[in-house]
Amino acid sequence: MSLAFEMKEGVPRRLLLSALMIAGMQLPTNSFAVELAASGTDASASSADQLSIGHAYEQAGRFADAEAAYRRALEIGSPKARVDAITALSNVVQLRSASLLSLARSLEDRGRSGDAESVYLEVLKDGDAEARSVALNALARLSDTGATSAELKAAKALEGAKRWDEAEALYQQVIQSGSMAQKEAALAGIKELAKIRHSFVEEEIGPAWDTFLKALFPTLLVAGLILVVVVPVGLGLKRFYRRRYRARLNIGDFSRTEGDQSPGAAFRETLLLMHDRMSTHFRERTIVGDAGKMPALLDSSRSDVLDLLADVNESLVPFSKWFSKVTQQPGYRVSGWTEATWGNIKVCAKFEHYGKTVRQWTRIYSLYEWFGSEQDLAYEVLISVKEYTDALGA
Amino acid sequence: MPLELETHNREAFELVTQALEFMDQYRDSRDVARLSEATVRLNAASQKDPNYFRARYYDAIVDDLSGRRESAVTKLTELLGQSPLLADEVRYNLGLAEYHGYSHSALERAIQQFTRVLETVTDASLRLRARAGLAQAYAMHMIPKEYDKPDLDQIKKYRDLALGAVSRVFHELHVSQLRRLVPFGGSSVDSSTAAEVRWTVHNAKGMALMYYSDYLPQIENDMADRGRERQGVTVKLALSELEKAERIKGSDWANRCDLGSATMRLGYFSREAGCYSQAISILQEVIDRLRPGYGFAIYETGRVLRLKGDYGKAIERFKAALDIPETQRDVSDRRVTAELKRAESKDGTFP
Repeated sequence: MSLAFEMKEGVPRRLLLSALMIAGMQLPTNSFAVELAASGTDASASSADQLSIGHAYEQAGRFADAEAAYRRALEIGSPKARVDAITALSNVVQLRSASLLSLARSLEDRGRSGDAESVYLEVLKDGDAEARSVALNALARLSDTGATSAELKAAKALEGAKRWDEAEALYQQVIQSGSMAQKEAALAGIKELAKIRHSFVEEEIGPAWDTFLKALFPTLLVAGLILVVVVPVGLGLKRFYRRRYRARLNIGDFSRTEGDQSPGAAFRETLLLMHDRMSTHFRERTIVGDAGKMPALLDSSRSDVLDLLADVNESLVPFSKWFSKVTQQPGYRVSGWTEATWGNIKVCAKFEHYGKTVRQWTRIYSLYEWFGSEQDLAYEVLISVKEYTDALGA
Repeated sequence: MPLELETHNREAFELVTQALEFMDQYRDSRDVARLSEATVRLNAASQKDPNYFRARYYDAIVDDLSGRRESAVTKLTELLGQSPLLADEVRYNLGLAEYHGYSHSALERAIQQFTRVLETVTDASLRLRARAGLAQAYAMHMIPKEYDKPDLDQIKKYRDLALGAVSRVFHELHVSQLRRLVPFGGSSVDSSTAAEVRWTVHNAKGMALMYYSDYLPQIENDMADRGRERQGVTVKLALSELEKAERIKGSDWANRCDLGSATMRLGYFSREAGCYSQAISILQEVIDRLRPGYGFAIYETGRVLRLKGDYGKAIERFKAALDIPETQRDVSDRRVTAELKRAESKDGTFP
């Protein structure tokens, strides 16, 4: 029974190929190996698969395909796979050049100089250094034997392959030793080459594109990281802390700017003091029984450990801020602002439960009145919180 | 205007907070002067906001703690009639205030209130406190109306009820403790309530054993010397329970009075030297410091002196007790007068 018949439907062929190779088994036929390899050229194949595929093509003598497979392995592989790919690639280029040179020589021997010249030019474009040298000599020989302008053709071929230095050297060679017509053609080629090499595209767009790619890559990487890791982790943490702090209260800052000294700017401090007083009042006592509890405060300060880390390494500051924001999920929040003129103070405050406003206060006091009323308002706000939380718990 | 649980008058709130702080200080120091300070603030709070429920409720509790139990009963009954707010808590405190009346009729009302709380409440903490209160009321009910005509069946019945309630409370406390160890184990009792309940049931058990020892030979038909020996052993067990209560919450005037009474009995049953002097010193501390001028402690000191054979001083104490109004004395005129007569006739027997 042949190996092809033994294959089960649904087993990835490239895996089978790799497995056979790892086990050191000889493939039944080259065509079978190629068939296997051809089925595994999809982009999702791993670097190990690509190496195996390249190897199969190489064994079947399909060097161009093998080279393409090794190049793919070079693009996607791990450092080790890339080293293997480079070795295999250099090997396959050598093999391919040798094969083409052999073909060209055979054609030359049969007097098919034109076809031989095309094959030598092919070697000149993609061959290894040694093969290119052999191809160049052969082209020169063909030129001597009457196959005119082979060097010029070679130079053109190298120009097309963007191997400008080698093309220029060949043009120079033709200028030195060629006929007048060849010299003119070579000179024109050098001029054209100079134009191309100094063209706007080469000088401006190319580097700019490279820079753009270099800058874009980290940005894309960060964006990908945020999408794949940070967003789900953030959502999970938010949910966890939302549940954990569902009975906690956060009192926001009522001052408009940091270090605000205007009357009313310290209303948060008054609220905190009143909260402390009310927590004492509603503390559970065995003498008087359960009086309900004030929701405990959730301090808005960030984690000490994160602050410490952020002090050591500044790059952790954004992370520290993000973490602090994600973990601050109090069930209840009192926030607002105060505004003072010469004679009056306006206070706006609101009490929210999971972001939904439960009650709002907008009051205007004269400055004289404010000092007596500040604590009354703080008490009014917090007793509303207490009554609301008691009603929820009932 | 209906009563409101919380006030919207900040000054009234501040006054009640101050009163609560004084009550906390009383709990720690047992200094009754703290309760007077609390009363002043609670009355002021009620004036600022007459509909402030907590001010009136706490005022009744402070009355009971201060020994003005009749006033406490009146205020708590009124609150129950006026408002459904914290009805179970109020009823429990009403039971407690009735218990502090110590007469059979008051104890029966206390038992009724505690039983009602147990029937209606699901809160584990309040249930435990009510059952512990019930154990105390049953134990106190063992004291016969007349010392020379005891209803032995009733004494035995209430002893069984008291000890049964004590066992039940201990069992529920254990369950609650286990619940605290198990995640999602259900509602459990906080540590301060557990300590308060534990104190109450040790005191109840101590009282039940002590009052049972008084009539143990008659109840168990064991009138020989062995009966007296068993009375001594039972009182020692009672003392051990009362000392456990003392270790949980020291300087409580009620438990100290019970300790004095049990030490007095130990002196009589086992004839151990120094017991009478020790009993007098315990009761004197109540009279001087823990509950100044407390009528029952003065009366009980008279009893110790009578058993000791110091009839002159005993008569002085009984007369001093009679000078205190019956409502503030926690022992009836009838009992004090009977003891006075026994001292005058140089009767050194017990009970």
